[in-house]
Amino acid sequence: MTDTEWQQQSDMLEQKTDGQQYLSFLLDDEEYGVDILRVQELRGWTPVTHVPDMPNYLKGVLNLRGAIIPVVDLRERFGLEKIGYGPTTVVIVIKVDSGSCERVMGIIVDAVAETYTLSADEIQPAPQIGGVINSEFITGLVAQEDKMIVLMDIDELMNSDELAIDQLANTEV
Amino acid sequence: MSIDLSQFISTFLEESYEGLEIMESSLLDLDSADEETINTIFRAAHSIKGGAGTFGFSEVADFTHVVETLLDELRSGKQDISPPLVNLLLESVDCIKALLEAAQDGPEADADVVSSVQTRLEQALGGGNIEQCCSEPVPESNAQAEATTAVDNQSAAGSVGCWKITFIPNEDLLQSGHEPSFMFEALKDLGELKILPNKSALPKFSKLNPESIYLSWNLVLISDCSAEDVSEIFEWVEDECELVIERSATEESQTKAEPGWVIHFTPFETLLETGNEPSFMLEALSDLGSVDVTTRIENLPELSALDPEKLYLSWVINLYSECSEEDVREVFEWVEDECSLTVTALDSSLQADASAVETEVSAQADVSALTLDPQVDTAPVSDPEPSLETVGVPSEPSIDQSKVKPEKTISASKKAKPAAESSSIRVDTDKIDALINRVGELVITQAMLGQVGDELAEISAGSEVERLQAGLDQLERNTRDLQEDVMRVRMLPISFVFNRFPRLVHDVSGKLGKKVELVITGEQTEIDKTVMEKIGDPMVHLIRNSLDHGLETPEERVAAGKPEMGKVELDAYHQGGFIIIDITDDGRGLNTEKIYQKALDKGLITADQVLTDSEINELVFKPGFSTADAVSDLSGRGVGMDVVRRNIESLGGHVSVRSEPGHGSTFSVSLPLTLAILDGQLVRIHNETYIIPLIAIVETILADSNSVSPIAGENKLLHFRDEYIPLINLRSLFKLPKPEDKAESSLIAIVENGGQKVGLVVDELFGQQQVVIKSLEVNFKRIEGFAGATILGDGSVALILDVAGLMKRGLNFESAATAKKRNEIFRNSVGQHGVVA
Repeated sequence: MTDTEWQQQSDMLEQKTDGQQYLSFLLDDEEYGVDILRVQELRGWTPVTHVPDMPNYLKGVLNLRGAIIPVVDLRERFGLEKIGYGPTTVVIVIKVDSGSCERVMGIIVDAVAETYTLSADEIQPAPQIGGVINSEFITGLVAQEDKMIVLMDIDELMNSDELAIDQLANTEV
Repeated sequence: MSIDLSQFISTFLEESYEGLEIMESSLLDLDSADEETINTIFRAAHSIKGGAGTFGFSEVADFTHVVETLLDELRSGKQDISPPLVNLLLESVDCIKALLEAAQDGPEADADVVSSVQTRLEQALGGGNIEQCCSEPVPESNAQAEATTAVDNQSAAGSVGCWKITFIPNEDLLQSGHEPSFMFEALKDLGELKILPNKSALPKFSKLNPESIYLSWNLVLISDCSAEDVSEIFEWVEDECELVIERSATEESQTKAEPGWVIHFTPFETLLETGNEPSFMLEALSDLGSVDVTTRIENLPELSALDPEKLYLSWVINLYSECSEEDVREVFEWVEDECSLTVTALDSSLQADASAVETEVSAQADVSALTLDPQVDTAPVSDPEPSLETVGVPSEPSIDQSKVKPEKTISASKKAKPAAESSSIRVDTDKIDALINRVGELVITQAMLGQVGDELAEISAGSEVERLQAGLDQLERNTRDLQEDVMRVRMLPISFVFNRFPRLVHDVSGKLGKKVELVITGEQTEIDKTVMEKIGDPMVHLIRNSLDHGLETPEERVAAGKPEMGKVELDAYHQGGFIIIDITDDGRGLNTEKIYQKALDKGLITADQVLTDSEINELVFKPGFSTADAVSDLSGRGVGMDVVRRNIESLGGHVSVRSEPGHGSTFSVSLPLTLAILDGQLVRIHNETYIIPLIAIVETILADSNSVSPIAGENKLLHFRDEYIPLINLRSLFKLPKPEDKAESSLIAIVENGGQKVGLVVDELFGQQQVVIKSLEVNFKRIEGFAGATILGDGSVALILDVAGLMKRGLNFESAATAKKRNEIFRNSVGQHGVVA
């Protein structure tokens, strides 16, 4: 995070101390937000090790200073068009609450956009939507200037589907 | 200044568990008992009791007290060591363990079991030792009766008057200018006085008000004076105290009538260095009769100048017993050169002397007990408790101060010893694991730097590059050494696992009615703590199995011309980066016919299969196989050898069996030395690097397409050394694209798991290297077919293949066709693989 960003952030903090901060990122032309406290770090794209027989959106695993973390391509997770990874491609390393433990995971996004401080009354509930990205993964919608930002429930998303901890496998051990 | 004891509780518990282990192993050795073994057991029990008392685990302390008393009888030869007694003591060890666990927030100890063991212990007590039995918290019928008779006999001879005075002053007695010691002086003018202070009301030192009085006294006055004479002395304080004056002629007569000895025992300061313990002698004396011990502390230096290895105390002991002087001297036989000792017959004048001394010392001693030893409760077991006879009131604590100081000196010297002997420290395993992780990172970084250095050397030359190379080489060596050293921190001798087996063998052989000798060798062989924790249960199962199924009954053995005593051998040794544990019995060996029939019945094999003996023996590791005719308490509780094999293989190990009918069988377990590092074969599949654990690899071969025969299209079998081995194409299993050019031959790594071989088809073989195993579960989840991941020299991640999981995925479990492919290899090491090109 650059100095100016930090400056912006602290400015915002001064303006609205009651709000919660969100980091927003871009997928295609859409802007999504995650709770900034969940963000551990931002990394540039580096090749990952493929894990066989996993869904396409799970790109593989990465060495994060000795820890092995899985990396998910959010574009593919949401069924958006695949694009190649370039210099702006970012891996957001997030901490995911998985019930019994906290897991560190990476999500691949097109680019990081902004940080926002949002108070609860600015966030509108998400309407019922179906499809790949269903409303479970969305905590709310925010109108910021003329854009719509989708706030994501990162725990729901990153514990869903193939990413869920296989309880059975755990108990077997 | 109050000390928070809670911080020591965990240390106490750990030490107690160690003590219990010592007790257990020593008890099992007791068949070949020498005095030292019993003393060892006794000391362990004694420490546990003392600690338990200090930390307020009264249940533990009470129970251990009974055990200790019994041990003391064994030690003094009052009782003979018999197998039932040893069993009883072993059971008590279990009870103490359960009680300690309960004290440590564990599950409640089974009160019924504990109390039944305690009752039996108390029944075992006896052998005429009245004092000890009387001092037991729970009455013991037999000895109790004896005690009563003894008292009755003595009471008949009473003539001189005896006054029993209970004097409990109010706390503010001193403030009105009264001084108890003056009253005692006055009482002494009337006759012979025994003073027994009771300090149960004594507060913590930090809360002690020097102007208050916390003590109370039980006084025994031997005098012909009247009650008025006595109460007159207390006249001035009667409003400020509770006073009970009773006449009790009987008790007095006992003291008076009994013959005895006065022993002045002044050991030299160096006595403890020769390994002698005054408290043992005092206890030995208490076995001879009832004992009054007065401790002289005149020579005690300042606390700061106190050398815990030295003894500053001396004792005056009144022994009321009919024993001869020789008996007394015998107790001190071993120390007679290291002390000055006088033994004189006890007569009234001397007794009065001794009482005077006691009076003098007791008040003084009380204070020193307070300052020196906060653990007043931890009085030694066989506290002579003469108060019981002489006073007849429960004045137990009163005599304590005389014993507390020897105890203190002893415990100090005891603690000093191990500190000097062992230079080990207790460290949290988390800290060690963190250290190992960090070193793992270092190894990866070092490998990465090494790679960069090599690349640099290729593109440019010069002295700087050379120096860099040299430095990197050194770094590599140092890193490797460091890694080995750190790994060794986690290594513990396998005796930690083996130690529990003598007990197991003892119990199980007892139940089975078999005579078994357990021979343990190589118990110093070191193994990773994690591996060790997990190997215990499979080992227990294997040993039970050997005892239950392997060894015959004594009759059968004699009939077979073998010695009656069966033999089970445990042997641990290192071999090629693995630890091998052999469990050998000289029993009947595996019954191949029975196994074959059973496997047939269970449908594990088909009737047309021809199997060699060793192939048949391997069948015992099959799921659902158990030859026990009836489900016994010992074996066959639904957990079979298949679970043993699975557990061992989940640790990256192997188990195999050799058997010679009529001569016994050997189960051989091989385990990796550590779970944190693994020797791996790097292979390429598609464009990723994977790691196959080297232990699983039997051979790697380059097979031409002729030796690969298809079955039903996709599945293929490799004809290799007269065996058909199923192949798993990892490319297709991992759903990776097929190679463009159809290869003439394929690289196959033949791996083995659960006694079954499988060929893994890979694209390329790289080198072999040690890799640090990283869990996939921490941030992701367990994936079938992968044991974990590691980080390669270039910082990239490589997945480690799990052969068992791959087999499960690739072969859809073991079909009848693959089950046929048993093999007879009893591999102990990795040294057998090689590339056949």
